[in-house]
Amino acid sequence: MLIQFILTFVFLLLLLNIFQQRTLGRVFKAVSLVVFLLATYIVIFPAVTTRVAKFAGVGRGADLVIYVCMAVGAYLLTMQYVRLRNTEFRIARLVQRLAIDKQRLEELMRADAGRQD
Amino acid sequence: MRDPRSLWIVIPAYNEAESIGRVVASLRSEGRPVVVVDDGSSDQTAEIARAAGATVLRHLLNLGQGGALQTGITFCLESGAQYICTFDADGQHCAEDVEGMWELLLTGGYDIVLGSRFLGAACGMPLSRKLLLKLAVLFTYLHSGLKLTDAHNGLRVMTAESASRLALKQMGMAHASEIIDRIASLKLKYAEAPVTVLYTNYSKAKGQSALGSVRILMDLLIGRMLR
Repeated sequence: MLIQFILTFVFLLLLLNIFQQRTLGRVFKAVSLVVFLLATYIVIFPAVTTRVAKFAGVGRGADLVIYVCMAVGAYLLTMQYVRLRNTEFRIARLVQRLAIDKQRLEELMRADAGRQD
Repeated sequence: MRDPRSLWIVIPAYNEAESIGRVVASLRSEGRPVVVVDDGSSDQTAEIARAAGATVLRHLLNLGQGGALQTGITFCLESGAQYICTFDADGQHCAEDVEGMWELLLTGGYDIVLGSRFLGAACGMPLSRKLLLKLAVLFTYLHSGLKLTDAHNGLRVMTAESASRLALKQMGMAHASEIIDRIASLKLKYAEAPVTVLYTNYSKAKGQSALGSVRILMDLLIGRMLR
């Protein structure tokens, strides 16, 4: 079916994009590859999810996929938020240090100017 | 006679040009070193504070009151302060209260003395404010186990030793709760002292809204995840 080709193509593009990033670590790339293979497998053989869904107590496979995606999405969003706050915190520490060091520099320069007079 | 120069005053200020001059002058007249941390103001706060005799540190970005407080505390500690007092920039506090709090800190051998408007006087405090503050007191008690009469008063006097151990991580308004938390977890010896808080239209407009407390709760939760 057409949708299977489209999804597989999009997944492949994402994977290639990830593998081209030099800043991403090996572990991240390996996990991405596993996720890619799993996602492609599910797209090509969607009946698998229905059997797993039955086992998990969910009626349809498509529902299970949506639930899992929502859980993973929420987790990633939370992690990103914490990372953002962490970055803000580090910037704040820099701003604090800069304020103090600038004052010290001015004090030193004033003392220096006083000595030359 | 104690040397008034061993007690350093830290004033976090954000766009307080209207009040900062009077506040600094009232404290300078008692001969104390005053450090104003200008938290990225867009008005004349820094210039006015400097003209009034304060040392002014400037944040390039607005961090929030907690961030400004910590900058001031770090600066005082690195300058060899023996005692540190935190003071509000909006003119709510009275410079005369500082001496009494310092006296109590020294004679009682406390690590930190917290100002309380409910032990002292709160002139012109609106009822809604009183309710919110009492709610904060209850929350503080449930959260940290500290029985205080006033949980969010910006007037505090502490030893350099305890100031260095506080190490505030909260940049916003949650620092007040964080300080109480730290007092509890570090088992600091604390006391409350009666102080006068003046409510003017200016300070009321500058104060925290009820919505601000929601933000504070959120910050406290996230603060646990920061390094």
